[in-house]
Amino acid sequence: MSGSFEDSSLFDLFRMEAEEQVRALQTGLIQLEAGASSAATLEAMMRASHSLKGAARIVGLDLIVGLTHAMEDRFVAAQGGRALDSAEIDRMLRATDWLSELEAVAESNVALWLDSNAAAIDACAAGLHGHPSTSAQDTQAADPADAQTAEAAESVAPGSEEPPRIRPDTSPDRQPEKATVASPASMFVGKQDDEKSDRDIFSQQGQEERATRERTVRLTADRFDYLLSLSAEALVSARQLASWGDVLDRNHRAIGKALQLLEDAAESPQARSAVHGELERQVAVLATQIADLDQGTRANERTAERLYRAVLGGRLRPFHEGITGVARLVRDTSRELGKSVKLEILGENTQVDRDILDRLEAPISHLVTNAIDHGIELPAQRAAAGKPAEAHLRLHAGHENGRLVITVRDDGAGIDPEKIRERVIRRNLAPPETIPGLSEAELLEFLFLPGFSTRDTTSVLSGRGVGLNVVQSMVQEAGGAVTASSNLGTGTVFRLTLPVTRSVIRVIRILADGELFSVPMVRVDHVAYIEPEGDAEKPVVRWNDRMFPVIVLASILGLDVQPLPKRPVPLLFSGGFAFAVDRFVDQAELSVRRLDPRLGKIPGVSAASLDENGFPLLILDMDDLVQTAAGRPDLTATSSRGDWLAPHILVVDDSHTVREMERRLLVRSGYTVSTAQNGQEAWNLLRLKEYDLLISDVDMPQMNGIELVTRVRGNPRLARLPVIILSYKDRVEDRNRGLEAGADFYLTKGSFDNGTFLQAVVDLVGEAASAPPGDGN
Amino acid sequence: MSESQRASLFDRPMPPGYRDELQVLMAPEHAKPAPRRGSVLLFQLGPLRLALPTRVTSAASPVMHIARVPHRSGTVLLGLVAFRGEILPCCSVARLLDVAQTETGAARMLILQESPGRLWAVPIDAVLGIRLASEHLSQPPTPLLPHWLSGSFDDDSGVFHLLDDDNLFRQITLATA
Repeated sequence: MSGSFEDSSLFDLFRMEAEEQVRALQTGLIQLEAGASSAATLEAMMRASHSLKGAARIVGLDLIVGLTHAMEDRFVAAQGGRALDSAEIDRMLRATDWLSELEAVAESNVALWLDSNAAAIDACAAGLHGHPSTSAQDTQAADPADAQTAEAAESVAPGSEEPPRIRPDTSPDRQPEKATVASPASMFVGKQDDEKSDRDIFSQQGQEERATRERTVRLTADRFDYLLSLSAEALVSARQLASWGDVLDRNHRAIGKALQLLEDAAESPQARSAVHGELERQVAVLATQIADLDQGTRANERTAERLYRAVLGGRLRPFHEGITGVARLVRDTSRELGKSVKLEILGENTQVDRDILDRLEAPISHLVTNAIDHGIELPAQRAAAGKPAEAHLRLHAGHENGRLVITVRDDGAGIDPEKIRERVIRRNLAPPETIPGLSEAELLEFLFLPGFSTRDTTSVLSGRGVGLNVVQSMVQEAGGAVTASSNLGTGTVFRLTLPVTRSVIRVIRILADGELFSVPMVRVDHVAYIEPEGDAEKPVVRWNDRMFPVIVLASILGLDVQPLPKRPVPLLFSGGFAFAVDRFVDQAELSVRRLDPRLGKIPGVSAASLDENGFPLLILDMDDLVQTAAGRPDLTATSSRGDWLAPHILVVDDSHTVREMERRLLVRSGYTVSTAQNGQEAWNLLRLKEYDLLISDVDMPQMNGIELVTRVRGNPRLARLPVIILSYKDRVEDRNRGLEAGADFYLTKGSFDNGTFLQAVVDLVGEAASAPPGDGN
Repeated sequence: MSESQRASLFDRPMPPGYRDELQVLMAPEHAKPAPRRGSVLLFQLGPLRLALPTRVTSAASPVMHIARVPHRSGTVLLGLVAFRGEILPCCSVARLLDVAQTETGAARMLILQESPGRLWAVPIDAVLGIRLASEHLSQPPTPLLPHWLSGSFDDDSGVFHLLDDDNLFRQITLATA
C-alpha cells in the first residue's frame, strides 16, 4: 500500500467507487454477452475501468491498476471493432468478482488478500492483454471455465465409482469456435464523416433520453380493467359537455330573438309580455342547466379523482417487497457478531411507490447492520444491564399525514451524546464555544456527516462513518429525510420520512422576484414572518433562540433582488438558513416531472410540474440551495481572513476518489475548492460562478476535458481563466492536444506528485495564504 | 390457348430483333423529376421574413406563460412553456440570430420538432402561411445571416429566407446546454 495518502478514508472512497463501477461493469458485460449492448455501454464500461484504475492507483493497489488497465485496453480495442468473445467476457466477470471481493476486505487484510490472489489476477490481466498465461496454474485460475473443468476432474476421489472425466482437448485446432459478441463499434462503420458523426451524437443522445423515459410498469388485469372502465366513464362525462353546449346555444339564440323582438316592438304591450314570458322561460332553462352542469362537474371531478388514484395505485407495492433481504441480514450479522436479535417487522403491507421501494433496501440494511453492530450489546452485557439476552429490533412502516414513515428501533445501548460531543470537538466540526450548548437532537445530526463515527475501531460491518451519511444521501435522493433519536441505555430509533409516491408531492408555493416556485414540504422546517435584524449585508433572524442567516431566495436563484423591507418578511426555514421570499401563495399537491435533460443540472431546481392552469412550475431543490448558501463567501468562515478570499478552484474528474484526493490536497493548502463530475457539470458551474482556476481530467462522460477547455477559451469571460489538465493520458500527442486546447499545465496522473501539482497551482493562482497574484501589497 | 401453349409463352426463344428494340426503348435518359423541397412555413421574426420546412414545425400556439429558469433564462433560453401537457424549453431564435423582435413582443410560438420527442418552443411575431418552397433558392441577399440560411426565395408577398434547420437545432442545443 502506498504511504503517500495516510488518510484511511480514501480507501473507503475506493470501496464506494469500486462498488459503483463494478455494478456498471457487470451490468454492461451481461448486456454485451446477451447482444443487447450499444456503443454507449462499451463506452461506459471503458470509463468504469478507467475510473477504477485511477482510484486503485491513488490507494496504491498496483495489482488492481494492472487488472483494470488491461480491462480498459480491451474495451478500447472492442470499441475499435475487436469484439469480445464469451471467454473474454467470463474473464472480465471474474475480474469484477475480485473487485467485489476486495470491497469487502478489511483494510488491514488487503495486503494479504492481494498476495493470495496476485498470480490469478496477473494471469487474468495477461489474458485480457492477449498474452498467454505463464503457468498452467495461472491459466486455470484465470480462466474460470478451465478452472471448473480442472476442479471437476480432480473432484473425483480415489476409489469413486464414477469414472474420471477426461479433460477436453484444448488444442487450437480442436477448440470449439468461440461465440463472438457483436461489436457495437461495427454499427458505425461507414459513418465516419465529421458532420455525420456530429449528428449521430445528437441523435444518440435523443435515443438514450427516450430509452430512459420508456420504463415499464406491470399492472394486474383487474386493475387494468378498472382503469379502462374509469376511462370510459371519463369519456362519457366529456361527451355530456357537448350536449350542454347545444342547450346553451339554443338558450342563447332564444334570448337573442326575444331581445330583437323587444327592440322591434318596444311599444307593444303584447310584444313586451311575450318577451317577458320568453325570458322567464329561458331563465328557468338556464337555472336547470346550471344545476345539471354543477352536478356534472362534481361527477367529472369524482371520476377524474378515482382515475388518478387508480393509476397512482398501479405504482404502489407492499413494503415487504422492498426488504426481502433484511431478515437474512439480521440473522447473518447477529450470528457473526455473537449477538442474539429478534427482528419484528410491522406494516409489511404498507403501500409504497415502486420507485421509493427500489431505494429502500440499501439504507434500511445500513441501519439494521449499524443497530446490530453499534447499538445492540452482547448477551452478557445485556444480562448485566438487566435486559433480556435476546435483543429486539423493530422495523415499522406506516403512513402518517400523507407520508411514508419507516422506523428502525433497537433496544440496545443507545448513543452517548457526550461521545458525539467529544468527537465534534476533536474533529473541530463546530466552534468550541457553541459545542456545550448543542442539544441532544443537534448532536445526533453530526452522525450524518461524512466520515463521522463514534467508534474508535472499524470493522467490516461498520464504524467507518460512511454508513449514516450514505443512508441520508439515499433517503434524500428519494425525496425524504432521516432523523435519529436515542436514549442512553435503552435504545436508538432512526426515522425515515419519505413521500408515499415520488409522482406527487406536497409543496408550498411561493413567489420570488414575481415568479411562482414550489418548495417540497418535506424540505421546509418552519415558515414565519419575521423582521430581519443586524447588518444589512448579512441579515439574520432569531427563531427558537437560534440565529439564522437570511438569504433572499431570488438572489440565490440568480433573479433580480429587491432590498429586504423594514418589516416582517415571509421566511422559509430550511437547513439552518431562513430564505426570504416575496410572498407565500398556498399549499398544493403537484405531480412531479423530471426536468428536461437538455437543460442539464439547473442549480437550485430539482424538478418541474404543471399547475392547475396548465402553466409550468419549477420545484426547488432546497438541499442544493442550502449548500449554495453555506458556500457563499459572505456567510462562511473564509471571510474571517479579511477582504481577500482564498482562490476558488474548480476540480473536475469523473472518479470521486481522484476528485476527493485533489480536493483534500488543495483544501489542506488553504484553497477553496468546488468539484464537478464531468465537463458538462463544470461548464454549468463555470458559467454561473467565479473561479480562479480550473483543474480538469480529460476522459469524462458527457463532455470531455479537451472540449471543456476549448469552450472555456472560447468564452470571453472565461478566456483568461488558468487551467491545469490532470490526466492519465501521457503520450506526447495527448499533452499537445491539451496544451493546444488552451491548458496552462498538462500533468499526468501516472507520475503524480503532490509537490509538482501544488507548485503548478501556486504558479497560476498564488499561495492560498498570501495575497492574490498581481496584488502588489 | 392450350395449357401447353400457356406454359411455353415465356419459355419460347427470343423473337428476332427483340433485344435491339428493347435497347432503343430504354436508351433515352428520362428527365429526372425536379427536386422538391417540400412545403415550408413562413413566419415573421422582427424585421425578418423567415421560413422553416414544415417537417420540423409541429404546431403554432399562443404564448401563455413562460416560466423563467433560475440561472439560465435571459439568454437564448427564455424559460419553460407548456404545450399539450408537456413542458418544453422555450428559446429565442431572435436572440440566437441577433435580430430585434417587434415592440409588441412575441404573440405566438412555433413548436419545432428536432426529432421525435425532442421539441422546442420558439416565440415568433406572426405566422404568415404555408407554401411549397421554390425549387431554386437564390443566395441570401442579406449578408447578416448567411450561415443560418439555406437560401432565399421569392414569394408573392416578397422575399423569404429559408433557415437551415440542422444548424438551427445544433445551435439551440449548444446555446441552452
